[in-house]
Amino acid sequence: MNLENLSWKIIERPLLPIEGSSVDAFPFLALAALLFLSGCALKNKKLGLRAISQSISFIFFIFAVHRCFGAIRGWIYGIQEIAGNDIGVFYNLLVFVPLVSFSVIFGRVFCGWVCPLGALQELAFRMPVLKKLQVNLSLRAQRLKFIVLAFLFIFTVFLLFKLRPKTFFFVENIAAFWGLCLMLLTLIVAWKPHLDSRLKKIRSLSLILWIGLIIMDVYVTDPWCVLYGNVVDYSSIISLLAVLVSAIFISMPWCRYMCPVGSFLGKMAGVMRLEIRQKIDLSPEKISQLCPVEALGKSSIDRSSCLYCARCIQAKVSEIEES
Amino acid sequence: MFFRALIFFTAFLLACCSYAYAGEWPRFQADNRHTGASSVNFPSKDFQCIWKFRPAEHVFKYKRGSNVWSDSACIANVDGKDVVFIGLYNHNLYAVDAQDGRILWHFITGGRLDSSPCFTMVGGKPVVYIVSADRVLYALDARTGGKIFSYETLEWSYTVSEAVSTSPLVVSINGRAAVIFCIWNNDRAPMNNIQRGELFALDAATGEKIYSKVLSSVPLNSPAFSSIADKPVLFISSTDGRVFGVDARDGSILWEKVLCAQIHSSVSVNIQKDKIQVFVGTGFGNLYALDGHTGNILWAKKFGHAIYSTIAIAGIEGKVFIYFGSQDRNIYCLEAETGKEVWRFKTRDYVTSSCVIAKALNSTVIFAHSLDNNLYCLDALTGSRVWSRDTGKLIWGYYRGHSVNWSSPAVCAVSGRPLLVFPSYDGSVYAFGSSGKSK
Repeated sequence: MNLENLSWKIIERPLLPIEGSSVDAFPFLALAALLFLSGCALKNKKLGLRAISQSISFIFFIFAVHRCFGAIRGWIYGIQEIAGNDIGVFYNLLVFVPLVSFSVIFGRVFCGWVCPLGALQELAFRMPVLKKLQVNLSLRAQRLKFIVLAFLFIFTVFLLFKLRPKTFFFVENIAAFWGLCLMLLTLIVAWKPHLDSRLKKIRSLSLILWIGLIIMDVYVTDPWCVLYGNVVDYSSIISLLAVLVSAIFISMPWCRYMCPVGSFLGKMAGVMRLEIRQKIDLSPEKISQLCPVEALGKSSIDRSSCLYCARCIQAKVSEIEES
Repeated sequence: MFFRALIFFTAFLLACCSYAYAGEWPRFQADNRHTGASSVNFPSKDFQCIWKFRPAEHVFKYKRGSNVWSDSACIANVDGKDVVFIGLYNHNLYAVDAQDGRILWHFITGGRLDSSPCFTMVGGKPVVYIVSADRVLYALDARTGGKIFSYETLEWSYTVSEAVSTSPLVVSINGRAAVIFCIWNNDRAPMNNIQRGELFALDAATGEKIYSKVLSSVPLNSPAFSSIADKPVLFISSTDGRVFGVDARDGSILWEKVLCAQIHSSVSVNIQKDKIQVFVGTGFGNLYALDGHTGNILWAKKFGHAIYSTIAIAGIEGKVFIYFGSQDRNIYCLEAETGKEVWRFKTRDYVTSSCVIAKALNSTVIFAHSLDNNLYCLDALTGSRVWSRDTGKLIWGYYRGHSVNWSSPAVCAVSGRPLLVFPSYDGSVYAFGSSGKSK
């Protein structure tokens, strides 16, 4: 079995076709339902349901249906197609619209409860065999981990070089470049852990560049293209590897430093009705233990970074409130 | 009975017209079934560039969804002279002397030319048809470039967008030669919004409309044609992931099949005894073989990335093989009957153009272009590389990922000498040939 012939999608036809086309309304409804149920569960503090929601989302979007999750790209393309191609508009906006609407009502439940890439990063960070590689952000430079990571970084660069298209069109390598940037940031944090909070600001730059490239008509790809689309896109494969490797060293690195969708949702923090508020002052050690992206602060939470995973609520450090 | 006999007679005449000149490439992918196969036999496997045609006009502007430089060429014999017809991004249809690459005439349309022209003889007159993004089909005198007629598919308005055109083909409908094409028209007016993927059948001689049929609200791909149990049938894929079997006589839908993803590959048809296979690839890399009678899936196979090329079909040593390229960078050969993979050839970039089949030194070869800037010639049975040629870099700095309008090679015999014509995105049209005369 070749990599190219590998198929992991169970359903190969639209379940609810729009105007009889291959554009399927079912993933849209499934995403909306998952976001709604996750939001309700968070609001009612049924936090045990998070793992169930993540599992359903992971199985459904990766193994069941073909659906691209390029929300930012979809939003820009969808707007361009209004009055030109209604089916295209629906296809391009069917992830973005529920994502934004439910984020306004329930906060970033997509990031904390639904996103399959987030779930994958959590799994990678929790792998018991690799626990020793985790960078402790409350410690100083951890040389050995830095060296291992540097080696993996060089290997990824080598992989990109080996698998690059001959013509080296930039468009084909966007995801890989984003992945390499992520590894570079992880390297920096492994060397100087105290830079973590400053480096989080790069997320905004990632979003601006992302939108800029899409407007310039560059077809941007993501680490998740390979999973959701079931396609052999070398750039996307390299990027996914980079995310998973980084996730072994630092918790949720893609969400922390690079994710354009997360960054976009983070910018909406001010209008989200459901808010997580920190109630207790915490030490840096406690923060890194509790929060996967260290959005918790000494006394208040960084709302633009918070993924709404609700671990701090479970630990009775924060409360969920409606604003 | 008389009516049926008349249909057969006209079909026979049209078939004679199509194959009157051996070694012609009169339309997109050679014939109405889009097989991409030619009987031309190159006398050696050593190919050289014979001529290069580079029109003076350059448009350094790349527009989303538009053709990357040029469409695929069509090649025909016009009054004893072999002519290459080629439409470019700069709105011009060029007629180029196949001997030396000299421009014979050019015709300017109101929009870019994204789809291949089609050549045929109508009433003893050589005619070339082209559909432009200005929403018009043009029928031109192939000798002079003079307009015979034009047909506007949607009236101009301030809110009308550029159309998405397809390559036309000429078939016989009820004893009448008809030019068939699909076009997607869009008027963004809020009160009278139009989004129409429409099939048109016009009288090939006069341009009179025989019928039109709206099949979808999205762009359609180039139609293929075949007869099923005496019934003339058109096979059309739409970009929203559907494949249609349409009665060519009145445009009524015989069957419709929804596949898993968007389709940018035109349908190609294989006929084996009573069996009619319809091949099409999707944006998620699935290749389908559908039953031409019912649209049911005969077999389906998954490949690494989008298949945007039209599937080429060839019968070699009693077996039928299909050839196509994928965005997973491979060129594939499968058995048409079962979908079993025979070989694959790895290139260094997306393969989006369609494969073309010919012979070199009596063995079957395929020609395919990859976005790694190379035109490949591969042995059709083993997939081993015979040669590859650098056909230049993209004229623009970058292209939009998932662009689908990439040109494919075409093969013909010019005064007995085989020629491979490839319009490259470096702004030139290349003609390759090998020494000696065709056998």
